[in-house]
Amino acid sequence: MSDTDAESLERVCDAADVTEESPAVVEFDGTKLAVFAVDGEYYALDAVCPHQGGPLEEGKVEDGCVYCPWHGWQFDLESGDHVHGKASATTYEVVVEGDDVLVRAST
Amino acid sequence: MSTSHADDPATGTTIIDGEVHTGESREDLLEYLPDDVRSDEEDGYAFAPEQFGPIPWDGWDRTAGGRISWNNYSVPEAEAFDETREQFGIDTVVFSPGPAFRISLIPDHRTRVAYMRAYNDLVVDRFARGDGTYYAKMIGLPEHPEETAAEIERVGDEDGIVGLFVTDVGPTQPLGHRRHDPLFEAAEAAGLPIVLHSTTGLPPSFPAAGMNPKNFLEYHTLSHPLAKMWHATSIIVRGVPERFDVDFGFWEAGFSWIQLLANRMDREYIERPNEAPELTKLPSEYLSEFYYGTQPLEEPRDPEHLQTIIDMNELNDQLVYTTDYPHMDFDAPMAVTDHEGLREEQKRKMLGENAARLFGL
Repeated sequence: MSDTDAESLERVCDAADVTEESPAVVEFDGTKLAVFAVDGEYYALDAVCPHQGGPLEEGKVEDGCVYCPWHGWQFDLESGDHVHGKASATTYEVVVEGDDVLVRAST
Repeated sequence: MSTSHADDPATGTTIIDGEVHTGESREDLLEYLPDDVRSDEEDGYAFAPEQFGPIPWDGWDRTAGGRISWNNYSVPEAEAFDETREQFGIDTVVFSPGPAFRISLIPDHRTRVAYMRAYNDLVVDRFARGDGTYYAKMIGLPEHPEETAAEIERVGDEDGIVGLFVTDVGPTQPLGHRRHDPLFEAAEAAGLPIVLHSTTGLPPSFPAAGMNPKNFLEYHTLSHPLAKMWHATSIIVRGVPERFDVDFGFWEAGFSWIQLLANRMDREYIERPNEAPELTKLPSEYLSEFYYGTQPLEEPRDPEHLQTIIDMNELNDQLVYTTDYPHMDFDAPMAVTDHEGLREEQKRKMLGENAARLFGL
């Protein structure tokens, strides 16, 4: 990894803090993120649902998507896209190194 | 109900929430029943779902298989809403019945009326503060117009009671029917607006009876607007607004349905005005004078279409923002404050001015 890549990554939590049953909520660059772990893959999205502000970290996760618990809006964890095209949840690149979960700052 | 991470909502705009549902449990309601009724209620209902008692459980999954979550009992008294209210930036609340709005579906008549009185005592005791922050609607039963009139006389003047709530799916006759006149007369005397609100329970009456929905999506789409159109048509055609000085509020059906009724009814009326002799103006003009709860705010593909619907139907002074908290299709304030298709003046009126006028706040 280049020095530039390393500088743009920020540790947000322990890998152990993120489970399939319980995503993590972390502060990153002034934003609350929800960090999900699904089948060994990690995803980070802006925790605030773009629909009406619901908490995505409390949503049901299924088939690679998270459902906002307020109105059931379904977002793809990888792309952040709403499956019906109404809005997008902002996604962040996640890197796991050992016990650390790191998120890359958007450029 | 899980709380929002969203940024602070709009400041400087007074926000009146025209509907938060009270969270009364069965035990709460039992406390307010008269002794003889309470005894039967406590000892009865073998094998019934504990938290329902006489109120029928309808079998619907409103959670979309657990993808939508909420707590029906999250506001057992007014102050339990303080934290969420402050988080949302809401200044004033006009409560509506919660689980108790289905008491109209209780099959036993004596029990039904007893629960109506119990709920009204509960709401006066626990919710209708009249303190600038918390107000409430009392509940009435259209199937029992004389008992409801007596209830309005009994509690309609209590501090903080600012409206009459009726569940509009369940009545065997549309509200324009003369049998409901005692209810209107009492509401007029008490100065209470009448707020219609549907249920997705399954009473043997319009529009539930015969609809045969496959699932909740089908039923919930139609139940609220069809009930509203049924009642609004009869209220107008049978001259209720001409005979009684009462404001009507149509809650929880959004407001896109008004246009259908306005456009069609005006033509129908002009072709046979002899069938509505009490009218002094077009049906659409009455519709433009009723009030409408905004939730669930419709989501047209172009958000600006909502602005057009409001303007076309002259509804700028008639829409009342409601959260419908804690129900599964509630609207957080940002549904209005951050709406891309509404003008600022429309938002301001919707968020507080219109409710203040309707409820006398």
